[in-house]
Amino acid sequence: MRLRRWVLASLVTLGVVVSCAPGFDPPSSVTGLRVLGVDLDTPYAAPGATVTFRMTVTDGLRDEEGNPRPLQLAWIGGCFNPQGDQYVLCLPQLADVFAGGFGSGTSSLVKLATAAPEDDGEPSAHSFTLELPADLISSRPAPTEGPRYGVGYVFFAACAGTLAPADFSVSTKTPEFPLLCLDADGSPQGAESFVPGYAQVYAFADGRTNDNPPVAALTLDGMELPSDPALAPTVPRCAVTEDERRKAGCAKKDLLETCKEHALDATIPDAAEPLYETGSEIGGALREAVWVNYYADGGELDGAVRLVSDSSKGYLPEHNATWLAPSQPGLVSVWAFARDQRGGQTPIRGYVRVE
Amino acid sequence: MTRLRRLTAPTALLFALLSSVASAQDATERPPGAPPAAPPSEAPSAPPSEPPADAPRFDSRGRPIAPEPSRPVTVTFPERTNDVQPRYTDEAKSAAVQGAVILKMTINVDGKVVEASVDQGLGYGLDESALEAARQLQFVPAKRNGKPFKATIRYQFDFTLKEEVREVVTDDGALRGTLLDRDDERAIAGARLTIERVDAPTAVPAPLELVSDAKGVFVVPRLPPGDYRLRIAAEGFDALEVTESVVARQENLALYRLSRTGASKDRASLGVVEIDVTGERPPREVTRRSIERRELERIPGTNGDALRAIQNLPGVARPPGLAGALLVRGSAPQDTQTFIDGTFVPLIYHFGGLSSVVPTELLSKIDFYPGNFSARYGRATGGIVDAGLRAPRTDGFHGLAQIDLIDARAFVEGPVPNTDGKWSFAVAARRSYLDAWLGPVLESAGAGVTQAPVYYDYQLILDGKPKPGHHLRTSFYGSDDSLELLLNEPSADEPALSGNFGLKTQFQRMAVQYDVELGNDRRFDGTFSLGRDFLEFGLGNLFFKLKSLSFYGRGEYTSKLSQKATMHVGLDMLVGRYDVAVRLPAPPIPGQPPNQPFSTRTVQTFAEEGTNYRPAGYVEFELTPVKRLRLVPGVRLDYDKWIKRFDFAPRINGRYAFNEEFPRTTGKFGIGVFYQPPTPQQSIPPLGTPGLASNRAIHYSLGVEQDVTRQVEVSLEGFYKQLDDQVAAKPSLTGARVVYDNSTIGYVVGGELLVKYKADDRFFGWLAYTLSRSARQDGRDAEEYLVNFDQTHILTALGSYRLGGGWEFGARFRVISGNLVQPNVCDATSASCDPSRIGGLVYGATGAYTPLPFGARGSERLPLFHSLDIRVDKAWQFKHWKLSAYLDVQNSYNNQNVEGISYNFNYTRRQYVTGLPILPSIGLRGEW
Repeated sequence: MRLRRWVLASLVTLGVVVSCAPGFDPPSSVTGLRVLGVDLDTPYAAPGATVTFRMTVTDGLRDEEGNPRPLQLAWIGGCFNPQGDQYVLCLPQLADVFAGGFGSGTSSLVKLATAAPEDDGEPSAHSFTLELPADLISSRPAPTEGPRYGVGYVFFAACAGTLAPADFSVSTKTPEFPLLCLDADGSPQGAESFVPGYAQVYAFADGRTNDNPPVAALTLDGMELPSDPALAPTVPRCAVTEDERRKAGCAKKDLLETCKEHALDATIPDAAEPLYETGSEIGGALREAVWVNYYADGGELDGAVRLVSDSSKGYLPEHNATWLAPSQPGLVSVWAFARDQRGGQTPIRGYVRVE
Repeated sequence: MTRLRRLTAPTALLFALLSSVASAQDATERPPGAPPAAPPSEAPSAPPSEPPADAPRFDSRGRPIAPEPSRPVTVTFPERTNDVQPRYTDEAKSAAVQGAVILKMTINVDGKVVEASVDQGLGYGLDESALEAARQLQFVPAKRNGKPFKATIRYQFDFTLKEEVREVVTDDGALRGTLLDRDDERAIAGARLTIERVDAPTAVPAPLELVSDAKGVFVVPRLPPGDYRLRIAAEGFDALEVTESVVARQENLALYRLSRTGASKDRASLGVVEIDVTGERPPREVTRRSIERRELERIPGTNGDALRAIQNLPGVARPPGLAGALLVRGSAPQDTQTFIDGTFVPLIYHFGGLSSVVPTELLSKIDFYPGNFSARYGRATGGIVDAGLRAPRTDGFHGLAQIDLIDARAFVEGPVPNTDGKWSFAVAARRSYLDAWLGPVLESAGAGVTQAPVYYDYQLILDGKPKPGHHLRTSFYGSDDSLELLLNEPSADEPALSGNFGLKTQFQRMAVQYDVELGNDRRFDGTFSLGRDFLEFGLGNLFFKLKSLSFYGRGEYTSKLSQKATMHVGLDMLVGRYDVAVRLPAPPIPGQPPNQPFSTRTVQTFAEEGTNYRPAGYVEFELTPVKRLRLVPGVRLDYDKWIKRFDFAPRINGRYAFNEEFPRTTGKFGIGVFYQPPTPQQSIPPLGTPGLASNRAIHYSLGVEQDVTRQVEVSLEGFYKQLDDQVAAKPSLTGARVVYDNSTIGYVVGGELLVKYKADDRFFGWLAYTLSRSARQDGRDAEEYLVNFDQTHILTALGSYRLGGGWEFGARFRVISGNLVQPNVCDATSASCDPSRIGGLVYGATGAYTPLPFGARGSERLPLFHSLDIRVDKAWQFKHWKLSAYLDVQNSYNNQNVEGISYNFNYTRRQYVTGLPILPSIGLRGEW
C-alpha cells in the first residue's frame, strides 16, 4: 500500500497521472439546484402528435431558514428544424416566444409554473406538452443519404427566484440564454440557483419509435430503496469528513478503509432495442447502448456512470455504483437514470437514512 | 560544410641525389611516385685548386712515378644536421592545399646552402616558405674520399595537413580530378595543372599550380564559386585546357583522359569524361534553413532529436507538450510534408512526438523550407521538411551504441568488403524500453496494462558509386509503435469505454535513389520507393484500421542549357492502394443526443478499399541573366484521382547578391501558388463530400541576408500567405451531419528574424524571432477569427559552447505567446467577468451540460509560455573509441506553462491545465 502511494506520488510529481489530484466535484454529487433529466413519453414521435416532456428537478440548497427554496419553472417550445440541428439558432426566437407568453402563460408554447416543495427531486414531477407541426418532416429538404426526419426543441429553466427576460445579443458568436433568474434584490443568480437547458423530440419519416428503457427498482446492498422517506433504511455514517477526503488526494482510498462501501444498483432488465442504422457485414446488427447515471445529494459515489447494455456485447448484469455515506447524519436521496443512446430515459429515486 | 585541416609539423623528407653519380632519368619513364632526379648538367664540380686525381706524376729526377694502385672513390652525400620547418601559410591552410615542393639547392663545402630555387612548387606561398626554410638548413657537406666538395641536390618538402573536426560553414566549392592515360587507363602522376579563375580574374585566389599525385589525383578542396580554366600539362601527353564551373558547396569530381602525344586529335578522345557532383546543390527556394549534424545533436531540450530541432527555427510555432506537430508559418500541421531522402513519410514521430522515426546519427542534414518551395515539391500549402540520410563512411568500420531513459539504439557502418571502397553500408536499430518500467508502474497505480507503450525503428542503407558519375543508394527503413491498455472500469463520463485500448502504427519504406551524370552538363536524379503503412486503433468493440501500399517516384532531368541557364524537368507520382475498416461512433446522427457519451453513440461501420493516384509534372529553370542575380521560375501540374482535378501552380523565386564578397548582402523574394488536395475523409462519401477542390495558398515573401561577421549572419524575411478554397466542415441543411466545402478563406502574415552564429569548433547558436498572425473566415462575408495555434510572438535563443576537456554546455530559452482558446467560462480575475453568467445548458436527455462559449472563437489567449532548457555533454576520448554522456533538462525552472483550460461539469468554474514539468533526461553513448 505504501509502495502504491509512493508510486502514485511520484507519477503525480512527474505529471504522468493527474486523476487523483483534487479537482472539480463530480456531476453525480447534487449540491445545488439541478435538473437531473427531462424524459419524454415518446422520444420518437410522429408529426402532429402531442409529446409530453417531464422534468426531474431537485434543489440541494435551502433558504436562510433551512426550508426548501421556492422554484420557478419555465418551458418554451416552438423551435423546429434549425439548420444543422443547432439548438443555438433557436435562442434568438426564444426571447420573443417567451415574451409573448410571459406573465400570462397562455401561449401553448410557453409554460410558467411554481414547483411544489414536495415535488423536489421527484422523478418526472413537472411536465409540459407540445404539439408537433404536421409538416415537421416534410418542411425540411430530404437528405442525400440517411433517414429523413424533423426535430423540435423545447427549452426549460429552473430558477430559485424570479425568471425574467434578458438582453440578448443576436450574434451567434456569444450565444446567451435569453432568461435571467433574479433574486429578491433583482440581481441575477448563478448556476447554483438557475439551471436552464433544452430537450429534443424527433420524428422520422420511416415511423421508427423508441421506448424508454425500463427500471424495476433501486437497491442498496441488495435491499430495495423505498420512494417513501419514512421507510428509508439506515446506514452508519463515514467518520472521515469531506474536507479530509479532499485533502488526502491520492491517498484517499487508504483513509476510507474504515468506511463501508455500499453497492447502489438499479435493476434494469435486458431490454435494449435494435438500432436501425446497423446490420452491416462488420459485426452484424447492433442494439442500442443503455447506461445508468447515479446521483446522490449526500455521500460519495464511485462509478456513477455504468454501462448496462453494450452495443455489440449485449447486456451487462453488473452495473452498480459504490456509495460511501456522508460524515453527517441525515436523509440522503439517491437517483438512478437509465438512458439509451436514442434519447430515451427513465428515472428512479430512493432514500437512505444516515446515522 | 568543409573540414578545415590544421597543419602538423610538415614532414621534411631529406632527399639528396648526387648528380655526379646519377644520371637524369626521363620523367616519362620513371615509376610513378619516384622523386625527380638531378639532371647531369648539375654534377658537383671539384675545387679548381685540386689537380685531377688521375694526372701523371713525376719524381725529382723526372722519372715517372708509378701510379699508386687505384683505390675506389668514396662519395658521401650531404647530411642534414638541423631541422627547419617551413611555415604552412594561412592561404594554403585555408585552401587546404597539400603536396610536395621540390627545390634545387647548392650546398657549399662548409655545409651551408648557398643557392636554392624551386623546381616544382605548390603555390599559395608554400614555395617561398620552403625556400626560406631551405636557406636555414645546415648539412655535413658532400665528400669525395673524405674531402668536402660543393654539391647541388634536389630537396623535397612535403606539406601534409592533419584532419581535425572543425566545421566551418562556407559557400566554397571544391574540385577533385583524376588524370588517366586514355590508352591504358593508367594514372598520370606529376602532371602540372594551372587553375585560373576566368569570370573574376582579379579575385582570390591567384592562379593555382598543382601537381597530380601518384594516383593521378589532384585536389583543390576549397574554391570560391566561379568559372575556372584548367590547363593540364603532362610530359608525353597532349596538353589539355578545359573550363569548369565551381558552384557553392558542391564538389566536382572530374575525370580527364589524356591522349599521348601523337595520338589521334579527335576531340572526343580528350577532355572530361564525367563530372561527378556530390555535396549540396544550390537551393532553388527563397529560404532554405539547414541545420548541420553537430547542431542537430546538441540543441538543448530536444534530447538530440533531429526533427524536433526544426521547432527552434523562425516561422515554426510551438506545439503543446511533447507533441511533434510542425506548425509552419500559421499553417496547420497537416499542411506541412516531411520527406526522408526525397521520399514522403506519413509519420515522423513515435507516438505523435516522443521521438522521431529516424535517429539523428543517420542524418546528414535537414532542409526546412517554410514556404515558397521548389516546384519539385507539391501537395502541400505549408512547408517542407526534407531530411537527408548521410552516406555511410568508407574509412573503416564505425558504430555507436546509445542508451537513455526512453530507448536504446545501435548503429554500424563501413565499407562493403571487396568493393574497393565503392560501396558502403549502414545498419541501425532502436527500441524503446518504456514497457520495461512504465508497465509495472501503471499496474501498481491501478491501471491494467496488456502492452505498455513500445516503439522501435530500423534502417538499412547501401550506398555506392557503381561507375564514375553514378550514385546509387538503396535504403530500407521502418517504424513500429504499439500500446495496449486494459481499462477495467470505464471513466465517469464514458460508460461504454472499457476493455482493451490499443494503438498500433507501422510504416516501412524501401527506397532507391539513383543519380547519374549523363554528360558534362546533364544529369538525372531519381527517387523511387515502395511503402507500407498500417494504422490500427481499437477501444472495446470500436476500431479503425487502415492499411495501405504505396509507390512514390520522382525523376528529375537536369540540363545546363548555358552558363546562365539550367533546366530541371521532373515527374512525380504517388500511387496508393488502401484498405480501411472503421467501426466508430459516427458524427452526430439524427435521433441521438448530440452530447451523449461518445462511447454510446451509434457506431458507424464502414469498409472500403481502392486505389488513388496523384501524378504530377514540373519544369523549373535556374537563371542567372546578369551577374549576381539568380531567378528560379517554375511551374507544377498536379492531378488527384479522388477529386478528379488538375492543379496548376506557377512559382518564381530569386536571389540577388548586392555584395558577393564578404560582408555579403543578399536580397531574396518569392511568389508562388501551392495546392493541397482534401483528405479522404473530407472528400469521399459517406464521411466526406464529393466535388471538392484543393486547398490553395499563394505565398509571397521578401527578405535579405546579411553577413555581419565571418561567423555571424542575419536573415530578415517578411511573408504573406493568401489562403483560398480552404476545405472545412459546415452544418448540413438536411440534418445533423456535416458537409465539407471550399468556402473558408484566410491569410497569414508575419516576419522572421534569424541571427545565426555559424558553427565553429567552439560554439554554435542562434536567435530566432517570429511575429505572425494567422486568420480565417468561414465565407467571404463571415467574421474573421484567429486560428487556435496562432502565436503572435515566438522567440527562441539557443547556443552550445565547447568548454574544452570534452565538456559542452548548452541552453535554450523560449518565450512564446500562448495559444488561443474559445473559453466557456470567463476568467474570474478579469474585471469584465460576470460570475453569474450561465456557462452551459443542461441537455435533458443525458443530464450533461452543453457549454455556452464565452467569447468568440479564439477570443482568449492563454498565458505566455516560457521555458529554459539546459544540456550538458561530456565526452571521453579513448584510443579507439569515444564515450559521451549527456544530461538534458527541459523546463529547468519548472515553469507551470498553461496548455489549456478544463471546466467543471456545469461550466461554472475553470482551471488551467499545465504542461510538462521539469523533465530531465540522461543518456550514454559509445562510438568508434
